[in-house]
Amino acid sequence: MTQNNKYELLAKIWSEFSENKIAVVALVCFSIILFVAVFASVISPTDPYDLATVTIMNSRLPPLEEDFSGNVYWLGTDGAGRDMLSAIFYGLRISLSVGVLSGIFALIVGAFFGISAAYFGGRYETLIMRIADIQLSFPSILVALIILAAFGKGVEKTIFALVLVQWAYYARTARASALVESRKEYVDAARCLSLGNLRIMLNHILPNCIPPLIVVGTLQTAHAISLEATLSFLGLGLPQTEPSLGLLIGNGFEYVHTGDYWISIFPGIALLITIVSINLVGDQLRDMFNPRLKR
Amino acid sequence: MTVYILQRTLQSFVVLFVMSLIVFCGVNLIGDPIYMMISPESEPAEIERVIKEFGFDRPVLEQYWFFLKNVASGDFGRSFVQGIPALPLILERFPATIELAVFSLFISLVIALPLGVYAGLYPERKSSKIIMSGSILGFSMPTFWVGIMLIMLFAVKLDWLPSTGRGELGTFLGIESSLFTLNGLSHIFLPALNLALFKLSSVLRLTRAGTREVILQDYIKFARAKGLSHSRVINVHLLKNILIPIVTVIGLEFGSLVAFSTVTETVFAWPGAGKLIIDSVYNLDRPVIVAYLIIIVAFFVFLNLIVDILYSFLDPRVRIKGSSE
Amino acid sequence: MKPILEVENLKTYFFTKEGVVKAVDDISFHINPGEIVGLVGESGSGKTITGFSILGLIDSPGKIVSGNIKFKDLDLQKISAKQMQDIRGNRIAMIFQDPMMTLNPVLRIETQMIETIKAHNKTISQQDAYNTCRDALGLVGISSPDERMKAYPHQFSGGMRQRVSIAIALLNKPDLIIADEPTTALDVTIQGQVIFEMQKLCKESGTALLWVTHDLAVVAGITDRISVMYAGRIIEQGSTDKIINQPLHPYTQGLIKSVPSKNKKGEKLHQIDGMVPSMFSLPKGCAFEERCYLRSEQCKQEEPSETQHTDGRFLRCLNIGKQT
Repeated sequence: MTQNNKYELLAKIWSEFSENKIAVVALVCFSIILFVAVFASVISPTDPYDLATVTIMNSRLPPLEEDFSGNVYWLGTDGAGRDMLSAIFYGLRISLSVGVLSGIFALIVGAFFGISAAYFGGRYETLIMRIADIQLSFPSILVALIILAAFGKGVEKTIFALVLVQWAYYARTARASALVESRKEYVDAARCLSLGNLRIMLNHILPNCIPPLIVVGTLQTAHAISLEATLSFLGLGLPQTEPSLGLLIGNGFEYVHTGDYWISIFPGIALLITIVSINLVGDQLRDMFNPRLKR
Repeated sequence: MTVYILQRTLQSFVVLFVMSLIVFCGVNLIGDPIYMMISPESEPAEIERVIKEFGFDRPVLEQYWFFLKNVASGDFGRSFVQGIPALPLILERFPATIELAVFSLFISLVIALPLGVYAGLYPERKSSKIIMSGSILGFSMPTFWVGIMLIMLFAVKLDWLPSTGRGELGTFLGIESSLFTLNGLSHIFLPALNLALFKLSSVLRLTRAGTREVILQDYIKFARAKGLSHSRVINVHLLKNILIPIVTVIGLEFGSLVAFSTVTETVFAWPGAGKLIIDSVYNLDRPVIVAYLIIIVAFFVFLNLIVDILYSFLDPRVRIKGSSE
Repeated sequence: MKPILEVENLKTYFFTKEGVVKAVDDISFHINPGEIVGLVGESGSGKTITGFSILGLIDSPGKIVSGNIKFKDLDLQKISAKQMQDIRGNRIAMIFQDPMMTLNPVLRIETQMIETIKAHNKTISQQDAYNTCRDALGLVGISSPDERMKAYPHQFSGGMRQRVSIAIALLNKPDLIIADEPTTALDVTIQGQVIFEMQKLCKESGTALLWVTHDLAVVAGITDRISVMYAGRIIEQGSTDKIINQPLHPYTQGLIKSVPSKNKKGEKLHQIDGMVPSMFSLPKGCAFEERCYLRSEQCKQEEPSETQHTDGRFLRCLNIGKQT
């Protein structure tokens, strides 16, 4: 594709996408969140994990109240005296990284299995798809639970569990589009020329699978972020040293009955906005790429 | 049809077998299997005895056979925390979980089905669009957070409903359940609502999609041409057709409800199997963990089987082979 | 003799994103009690929409824009929804085109038949309703009706399903049946049978019949009068005798010539040159002008209105009167 074609394509995608105003708003929200997550350490008012500055004297201050040294905490402080706003910024970073990372890994694994299954067909394909189907018949939280119960807690193990939960969705999607492409004649021709299976799969079949994979990717990433938050809330996911939003909410849970609502509400809202905006973007992408809705 | 049932049953057993293999391998390869049966803090002599008794010094295959035999006879060892056999411990807590899941399913159906049909019949209306946007919110909000919000609003702020625990039990038709007492209902309402809200949106979207597809069919127009009342067309002709895919989803959703109840039970301190497993994972109470995993997997496998059979039953096209075409 | 159905200047338009489709554009016709009238036209000519308009089954984005539909002195557009419901399936019944999709696949035949009776007769007993249905099945030539009642639609062949639809139409002894291509989807051998049976039933019970089809050969045999539609308008209507033996409008002439028959064996099949214009962009003047051998400059500019010919039939053409 020439440079011009690439720009034209992008422009076309954007004009179709922006037909849905809500999706555009969602995209903007998500961009802000992404920005916050990446630059958390720079834009945070305080470093909530710097033990030197955090004191229990400041604990459980309601939002917008001053502490005795005159600092205003926009969203209040938690039980240990940490600034909620900063904690949320750092939490966003962790939640997003785990969610996106696991999504990317799952995509690679899933696409690999899906495309190769469609390409090679036969028993291999049946086996892979059977495994995927059976795994998909179990709720994601159960699969994650099994992994974490067997292997224990921790960052890598959580990511591993999330990848395991998601790969099947990617595999199924990749296989569906790969099937369409594999059946085309030029693939047979390429095979005859012994062009190397890997090359065919990468250069020809993979590009066709990308649009649906992107759609699944956005929706699955939202799901992964939600799942990680749930696991961390239950104390099973990320360790205390990597406080994702789920953990923050979990910490805030103890204070629900005493009325210190801000310790769990605000991280929750941040989580909610993240997930909803990703879902809205994903929804619009899906409608855009759905051939049946094309006019 | 019987061939189909036999096939599916066989498949289910294969899956169960494979799962037991996975659990066994997981425990053997990861944790020290000895500590499956006995706490690592025990006396060395105890540990020796256990090793001999359970054959941990035997080859792996023999161990697996042992494992299977024990599972088949219901022996999962004893809980480290409570000291009583693992299997009865879990089974005792199951009714509370099932009760919660059933009531949640009921709530989500009662809300989602009519709303979904409405949104499907009148997609252009503003109210329909609001319903559909609401559904996106529904499955975006993580269950545990919604639970916390519910507690904050209804229990803490408004003080209308209790926020923890299970209520009193009542008996009806020989079944004991907290659904049969007013006190029980007040306790189950919030957690059930919490659990329901998550699944509600998927049932809602499915119902709407199904309705939109079916309403355009010729046989609906023909029913109207016969002079049937609007309610008959909707309640009989439309509903029976969309119910088939919905029942399938409901069956699978029920399994999902049971799985997600782990979260709701933790938030609302509901004494079900879900809370037990979370606590057990926390406490590294391995016998209970293994027992729970095997049971829940078995539950799922057979749930899927039943749903498959139910589906073939409901769709007369699958149940009875057609003549021509 | 007062007609039981009078359609006057009916216009049913569809307002789509791509433009307005004038599916039915100012048609007028009537049906007398006990008469069999044919409504003939190619697919897309608007004949099915005419049937739906009469029964008020036009869904968005379609709408009846103007015109009158009178059934036995009742203005069908002004009556309440409840009154319309009473008429459908009861005084006016409709047989749909595709027997495969007309019956609900998850309900038994007996359910779908009995509900038609019960919708219009709240007091009848289940047994009486059942008997009526069973007898109706016998009437249309379905053997072992008791077994068939319990069956599901997918267990029937296409021909049998259409017969069930016909039986359903007859259940409440309607005054008028609108049959939309009732035999088109059937095997040729069954077609003849069904046509014969319908004709017999209508003559015996005095039911009027509007037979909507593209197949001129079928209507030639059984109808009393014919209306020919093209691009949403009726271009010729009159007694069957006259229309078939002496067609005046070039389109009708073309249709009749196109029917393959034994007499013309070995001859090249006749075709009307050109194609039906797109309903989104109908030409300014007469819609048939491009394909017509009688065309003149005037035809491009002026849409012909319906006029009565000397022999009693009605025509839409600027040039026919001038030729004779």
